[in-house]
Order: sequence, then C-alpha cells, then structure tokens
Amino acid sequence: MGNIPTIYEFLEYLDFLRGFPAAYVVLITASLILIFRDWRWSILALLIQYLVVGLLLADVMPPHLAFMKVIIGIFICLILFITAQQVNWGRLPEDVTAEEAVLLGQERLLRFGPYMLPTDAPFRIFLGLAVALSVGALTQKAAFHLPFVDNHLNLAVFGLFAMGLVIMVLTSEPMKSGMGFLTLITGFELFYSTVEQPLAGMVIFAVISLSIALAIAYLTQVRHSFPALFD
Amino acid sequence: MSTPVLLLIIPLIAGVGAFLLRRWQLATILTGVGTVLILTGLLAATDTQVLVNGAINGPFFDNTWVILERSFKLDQLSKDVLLILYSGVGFLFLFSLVLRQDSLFVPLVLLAVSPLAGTLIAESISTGTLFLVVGMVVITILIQGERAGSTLTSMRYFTLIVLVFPILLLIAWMAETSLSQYLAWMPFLLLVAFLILLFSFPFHIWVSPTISESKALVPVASFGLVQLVVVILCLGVIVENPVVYGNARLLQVLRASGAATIILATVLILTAPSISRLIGYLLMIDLGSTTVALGLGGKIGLELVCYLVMIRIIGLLMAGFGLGMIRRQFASDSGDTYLAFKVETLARRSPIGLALLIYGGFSLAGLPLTPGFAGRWTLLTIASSQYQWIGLIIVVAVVSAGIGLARMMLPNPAIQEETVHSFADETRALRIVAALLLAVGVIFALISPLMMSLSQNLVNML
Repeated sequence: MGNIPTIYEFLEYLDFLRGFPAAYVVLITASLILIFRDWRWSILALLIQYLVVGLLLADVMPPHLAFMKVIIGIFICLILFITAQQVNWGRLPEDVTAEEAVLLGQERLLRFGPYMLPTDAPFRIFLGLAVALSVGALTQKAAFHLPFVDNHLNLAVFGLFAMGLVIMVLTSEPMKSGMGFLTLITGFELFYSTVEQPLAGMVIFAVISLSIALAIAYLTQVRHSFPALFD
Repeated sequence: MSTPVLLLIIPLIAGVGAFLLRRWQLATILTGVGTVLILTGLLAATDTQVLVNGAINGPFFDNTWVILERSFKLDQLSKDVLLILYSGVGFLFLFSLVLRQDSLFVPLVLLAVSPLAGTLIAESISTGTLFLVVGMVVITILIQGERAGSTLTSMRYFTLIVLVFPILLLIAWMAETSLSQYLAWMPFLLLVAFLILLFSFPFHIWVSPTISESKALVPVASFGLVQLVVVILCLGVIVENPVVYGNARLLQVLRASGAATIILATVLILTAPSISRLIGYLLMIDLGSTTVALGLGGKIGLELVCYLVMIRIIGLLMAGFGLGMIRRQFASDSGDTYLAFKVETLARRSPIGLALLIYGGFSLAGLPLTPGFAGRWTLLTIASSQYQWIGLIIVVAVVSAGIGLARMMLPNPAIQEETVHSFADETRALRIVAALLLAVGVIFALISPLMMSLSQNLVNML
C-alpha cells in the first residue's frame, strides 16, 4: 500500500498552482458562484474556492493551519450540500405542481442555440466579467495595494471581497446570498491572516464561517419548507 | 474553577437541553429560568475586587481565563452588565410562560447568551468581535423563528452582521497595533461600524419589518439586550481611542445620521399601515436618538447612550407584550396586525394589552410620564444648547409619535364588526402579568434618576 503524502508533499505537487494562478482560480470560482443559478454548480465552485484558498493561505501561515482551513471549507460545503439536497436544490418538490406552489415561480428560460439558459444568465456573466476586470485593473494601482500582502494575495483578497459583495446584494435567496457571505469572509480572511497571529485568526474565521453556514442552512430550510410553498 | 469558562459553557449546554425539551413549553422555560439563576449565582459568587497583591482570585471561582493567548476577565463592569443581561433574559423567559413564543425562543436565547457574555468578558476587541458576531448570527435565527416563507428580514440583518464583522476586526487590529499610518482610517471605520450596529440611516431598513414579522418578545432581545452588549463594546473602543472618537467629522456624521433616522421615522409614523409597523417606527425614533446622543461626544454622550439603551429594553418589553396580547385577538398570530379593526373592540376585549402597547409606544417615543421621557428630555436639552435643529427634530418626532398613536386609537366607522377576525380569550395570568408590567413601567418612569446614575457608573468603569 502506498504512503499517504504529507501536506508538504501536496504543496510541492501543487507548486505550479501557487501564486497568481491560485488567485486567478479563486477569482474564477467566485465569478462562477455569481453566474450559476444552479446550486449544485455553485457549491462545487465554492468547494474548489476553499481548496485553492488553502494554497494561498499556505503562503502566510503554517501549512498545517492552512490545511485546517481547507477541512473547515469542506465541512461548510457539506452543510450547504445536504441542506440544498433536502430542499431539492431550491426547485419545487417533485410531487408539487407549479399551480400548487404559489410562492416559488418557475424559472424563465431562454433558448441560446441548443442550450436553455436562465434569462438573467447574460447579465450575470457580464456582471462577473465586469467585476473581475475591474478588480484586476484596480489592484494594479499602488493605492489599492494592501499592506503586508503580496501581489497575488492582493488580487485574491479584492476579488473575493468584491464578488462576495455582488453576490450578496444580487439575491435575497439564503443559499446564494450565503455563498456570497462566505466568499466575502474568505477574502477578508486572506488579508487578516497576514496581520494577525495565524492560529487565533484561523479560529476566529473558522467559528464565524461555520456559524454562517449553519444559519444559512436553517434559513434555506424555512425558506423552502412545505408550509411556505402553500402559504 | 474559572467563571468565564462557566459563563460561556453553561448557557450552551442549557440551550441544547432546552432544544431537546422544546415540545414541553414549561420544561423549556424552567430550564431557561434555572440557567439564568445559576449564572446570576455564579456572578455573585465571583469576586472582582482587586486585592492588595493584585490577585483577584476568589475562594471558589477565578475571574480570569486564558486560552490561545486570548484572555477573558470578569471585571466589575462586565459583571454589572451581565446582571442586567441575565435579568432581562430571565424576565423574557417568565413572560413567555403566559405569552407563548416559538418553541425555539428559549433555546436560541440561551445559545445567544453565551457569546454575548463572551463579548463582555473578552479583553481584546477582536475576541469580543468574534463572540458578538456569533451571538448576532444566533439572533438572526431567532428573528426568523419557525416562520416559514420569507426570510427577507433575517437576511437583511444577517447581511449587516457580515458587513460589520470585517470592519470591527480591522478596528481591533488598528487599535491593538496602533500603527500611525492606519489610524487615519479608524474614524471612518468606526463611523460605519457605529451606523450599522446602531441601525441608523442608511442601515435602518430592516428595523420595522422585524417588529412585524417576528414574535412579540424577539425585538426585546435583538434591539434591547443585544444592543446593550453592542453599546458596551463600542463604548470600550471609544474610551480606548479618545482621540479617534473626538474627531469632529465623525461626530457630525453620527448626529446627521441619527437625525435622518428620526426624520424618516417621523414621516413614516403618520402613514403607518399597521400597529406592528407603528411600533417599528417608534423604535426607529429611539434608535436615531441613540445615534444622536453618541454624536454629541464626550462623557455625557456616552452616559446618555447607555441610559437610552437600558430604558429601551423596558419600552420594548411593554410594547412587545402588548402587541403579543393584541395579536392573540386574531385567529392567527402570524403576519401583521393591520388597522382593520375597531379599537373599541380591542379596548373591550384586551384593555390592558392595548394600554400596555400604547404606554410602551409612548416610552419608545419619549413622551412624558413614561420611562423613555427622562432620556429624551436630557437629549433634547443637551442637543438644543448646541444644535438647535436637532432639538427641533426631536420635538417634532415626539409630537408625530403622539399623533401616530392617536391615529391608531381613532374610531374607524368604515370598519364593520364582521371584518374582525375571531377572538382568543385572554387568560387571567396574562392580564395579571400585563398589569404588573404596566406598573413596572410606571415605576421605571419614577426612578429615572437611579437609572441615569447606573449608566454613569457603567461608563465610569470603562
């Protein structure tokens, strides 16, 4: 049986992704959370985000602490996944018709060639690109360079913060808005980890992130509960 | 045995126990009341007086705890505020015996008490911020309760918490490191944090819907008890950074935001479509007054802020209890209580409930002969001496509040008796508790100098 690689070996294996590539991946995942309406893809993007943020955190804190962040991120995505599955991914339950469920409206779809996409998909794609490009341009300027932070981390911090804000304000749906909360908090954590003791900072953000995930899970459940469908 | 550890752990365990017992209301409430009594006893048994050699350890309980290089200390200030917090929570539980709340009410309040205590006993601002935010997350769930459907109000509150969290951490970092190149940003960050935490313009939008959508006693927790802890945390930051707080621009914007909140509430009161919204707008007047008081600056401003928040708890308790009694008169206690009823009918069916609601509303508005009057009058006299326009706004707001409440009480000949929903009989216990609460409110109106001296003592201890 082969040996399980250590954290340091993992980091060595993923060395090609460290630095700016990780920052770009994080920015892309945040954009995907904004663009995708389907919760499954959004949660997958959030999971990838947490995995790559762990790589970024490994630059500013001991790798074993960064690994803890990844574990916490996996737990958060697990909480959201189970919650989303219990409410049928925000869709109507299979045995409830659209006429019966007065609160949840049918998603409007448009045909783009062979594909059926939500009507607001072009707007979301445009918004995601606009925010990503704006962040990329602003972080080139000296005035937007955060103290104690490397360039690639600077890009990741602003990218996550901006995307998280946009996701938060774009919807009041707890699941999607909650992912915006988590994205924003992750962005701030990247910065805060450089200025605060790594262990204390990690504990603070772990507690906050898990609390947010649990609250989001509860609010999603009540938002999509059966009494709400027929109220 | 370390008291801070027990203050953090006991409510958590009790909260879980109360959650498991939630099907039996009496058992849940007894768990809550018992927990509060234990915590109060723990506070009483913990000595916070510094001995000659600097040691503070009592015979049974220590008042300090250190974990991960973060220290927690129960000093006299946190002890006094915790006593107020536990008293408020205990009375909330007792009142929920007669005015039924969600089955999650007691468990969630207990779960919130732990991090709120942590906020008060944490020695560093960053640790206090962590606990405060966790406590407010629990309050988010309390606001939603078991109500299925719209989560708009709770999500708005949640959004504000998430926005204020990084700001508070940044403030904590700047205060703890005292790096001069970043101190210039501190007034701005403090300003935003204060406006969010005190729910002033433009972060006021979720206040009135909370009164409408949540159970009657929930606003006492969210706008009263939690606000008290928030105010103590904020005042602690201010006292540690007097130069930052003395920033003239910061104070100016605080006064302007508070005044804007009051003006907005004044206008909305005159067109309130429901009793719940009316109470919400009256609360906004109180919130705006608190922000104006903070914007006055100096020690008097801090004392007034502390006083206003403590008195608000009484006003919210009375108004909330009265609102809960009136909601019982409708077939369903969910949703809003529109003015589609005859006040004469309510006055006949629930006279004490209506009286309590009106008196609590008057207190929130700061009308005379209510607990809220002394604070509003003090604010008016101090503000008018320096900023006449603020004094005028406060006077107009109080008059408007009186008009709004009177409007609610005017008979509406367009409403037919048949449109009123079916009634629920009031129990004798409910009436007795309501009458006692009314009497307590009158007593608090008479002992306002005592409450003011309490707030002065609290500020002196910062």
